[in-house]
Amino acid sequence: MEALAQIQDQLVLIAFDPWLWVACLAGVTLGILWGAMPGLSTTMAMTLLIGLTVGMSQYTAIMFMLGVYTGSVFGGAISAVLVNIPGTPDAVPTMIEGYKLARRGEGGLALGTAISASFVGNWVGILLLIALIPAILFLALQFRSWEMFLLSLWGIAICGSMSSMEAPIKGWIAGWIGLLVSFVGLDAIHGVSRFTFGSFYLDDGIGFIPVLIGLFGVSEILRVLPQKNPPQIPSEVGPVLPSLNALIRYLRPSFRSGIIGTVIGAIPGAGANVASFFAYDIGRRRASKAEQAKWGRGSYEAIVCSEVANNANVGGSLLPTIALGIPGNAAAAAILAALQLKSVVPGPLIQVENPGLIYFIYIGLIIANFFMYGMAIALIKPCVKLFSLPKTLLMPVILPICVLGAFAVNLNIFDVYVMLASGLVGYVLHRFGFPLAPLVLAVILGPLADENLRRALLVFEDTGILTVLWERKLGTVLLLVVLYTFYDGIFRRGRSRV
Amino acid sequence: MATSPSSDLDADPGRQEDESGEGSDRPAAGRDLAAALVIATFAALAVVFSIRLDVPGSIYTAPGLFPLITGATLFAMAVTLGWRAIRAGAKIKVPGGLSALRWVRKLGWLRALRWVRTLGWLRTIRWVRAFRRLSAFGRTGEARRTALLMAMVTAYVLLVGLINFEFSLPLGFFTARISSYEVISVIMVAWILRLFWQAHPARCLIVALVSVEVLANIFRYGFGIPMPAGY
Repeated sequence: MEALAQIQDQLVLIAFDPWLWVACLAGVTLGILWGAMPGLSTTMAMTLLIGLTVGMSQYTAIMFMLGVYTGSVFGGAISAVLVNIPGTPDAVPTMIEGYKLARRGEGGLALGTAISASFVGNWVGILLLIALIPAILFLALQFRSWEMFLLSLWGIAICGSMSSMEAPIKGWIAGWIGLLVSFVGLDAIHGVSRFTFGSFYLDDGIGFIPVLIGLFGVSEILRVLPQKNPPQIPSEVGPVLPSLNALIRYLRPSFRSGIIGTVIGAIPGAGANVASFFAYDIGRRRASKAEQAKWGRGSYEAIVCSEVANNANVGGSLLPTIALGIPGNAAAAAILAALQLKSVVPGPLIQVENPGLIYFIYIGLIIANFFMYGMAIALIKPCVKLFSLPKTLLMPVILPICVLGAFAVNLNIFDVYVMLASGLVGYVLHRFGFPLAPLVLAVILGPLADENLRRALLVFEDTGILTVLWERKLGTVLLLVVLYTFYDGIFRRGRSRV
Repeated sequence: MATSPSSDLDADPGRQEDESGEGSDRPAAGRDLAAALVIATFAALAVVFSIRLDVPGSIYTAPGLFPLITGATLFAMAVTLGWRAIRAGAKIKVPGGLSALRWVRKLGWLRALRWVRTLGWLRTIRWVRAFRRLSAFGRTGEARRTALLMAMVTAYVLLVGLINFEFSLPLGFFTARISSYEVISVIMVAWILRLFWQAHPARCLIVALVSVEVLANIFRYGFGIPMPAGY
């Protein structure tokens, strides 16, 4: 009864305060536009836009940040589908499928599907957030160092297999190169400089945002611009929203991907990028034979899997953030910072210290989801028109955005050089048939994998590996899954080609 | 499509367009072999540098442990890729026009190793042929344009990093600021547009000016992010 009364109070509060609606709409719009800019991640949007909440009231600030979070996660799909440059790292699977559809003149429908999937994904995330807090938190807390290492490794292995379908070894090689890149800098446990060659600038490591912008932004410019007849996206948008039949057909993959996104979001450290790749991979395995053949060549179901998962991740990542005070990912850490800026300390006592706030966040997420859907639909036609301009006009204009995007992360010109180097390397790797997505994912997950492996090995030293494997069932299952992923790549898909 | 840069590797004639995966080209087995050689070298270097890292505590927390494992497995993957490429028909050409495997078989392992060790290959390698292949690569229009674009993008980034100034223009109620980033970006973007979009120079300049200024002002005033500048 007390919960119902609190929900009612929050509904009344939101209904009679128009500023909350305005803040949410502004946040969603800024988030979508930010996410659509190549390489500008959700985390960056959240951290930079926190500054705008300083003068806002507690509730307005939370509403604004929830809007930014929801909008920017979807926004990444726009440039991924229309220019083959993912706005955010988690939009990479959407890019692989969506751009191929856009080239066939189905960019509008691809984006419409992505929007609907994002809407559904957010709903799944919100509903699971509300309904399954205890169960998901229990599962998330089972992930210790060994499991986190295996999860990271699985993410890279799956990404390698998926982005280089007939030659998984090339995807894994790209991932392993990314891992080596991620080791550059001071190591997190002892502070030893690794692969810095005495360079002061390399001590901080190589950030994934400049690498992402370089690999997907600069290398795309280098690849597309010199072509005599660069690929063109038809300016005719065509049908935008998927039919009801299609939505019903995708119900099962949506629900499955939503659960994957939420559960992975609830695991501290594992972000939307891992979630979208997992859902993408599992989606392919569970799809019909006819649909599997479309995977990698422009599949709507693949877009649904990826977008539902990365949007469900929003709700999932807020689970440990609100309930434990442990952010599910970097973007959720920005929400945590925004809450603390407004004197809210998330954690087990949040319901005691701020009664009803948790329901306000649920309702805020639901409103932000509706705004995201409306704004995204409204933005499809202008976006398709904009990105269907000649590539020879569009690509040079994107170049300064890439430079600013790389610089804005740390306000460091060295990141711009990293972006350039990544762009040149990315161009060469692409020419040699290596996928770039595993490299980026490995740069993101490398430090997590490294730190957790070494911590896990310390535990193994004390207790013995067999004991750990026996006692930590989840870890053993994950280990088997990782081994199966390599087996599947080498002996099943890798048999047809290198 | 650009041809392979100069190397002593034969390209697979069976290369074809492929829409699967991320890329649009199915790379030749020769390219896979070339890539495998470069990646194996890179992986070997990573292994060497990992071993040379300090071990401040337990071997289990050694900073070089995971890089060592990663480097070693990457090396194994590169060898696998190279081996499969050779099986798919890629050949390493050696003086005399023989493939590497036939050459080794003919010469015998010990003599082949002695030949590599005594640097005899330095005298006999076909520099002229290598140069010809490089020239052929440069003669294709797309390759030339790519090389030009790479040079322009590199110059653009270096100029943004090296040149640092900012003008202030008081306009009564508002002070407009123009940074070196904006000036360099407008010039370089207009130049790239002129070369690739091939519109009238004035049109290229206007597009560059409007796009860069809109972007710079959104970042500067909207998000409070300063413009890139040198150290």
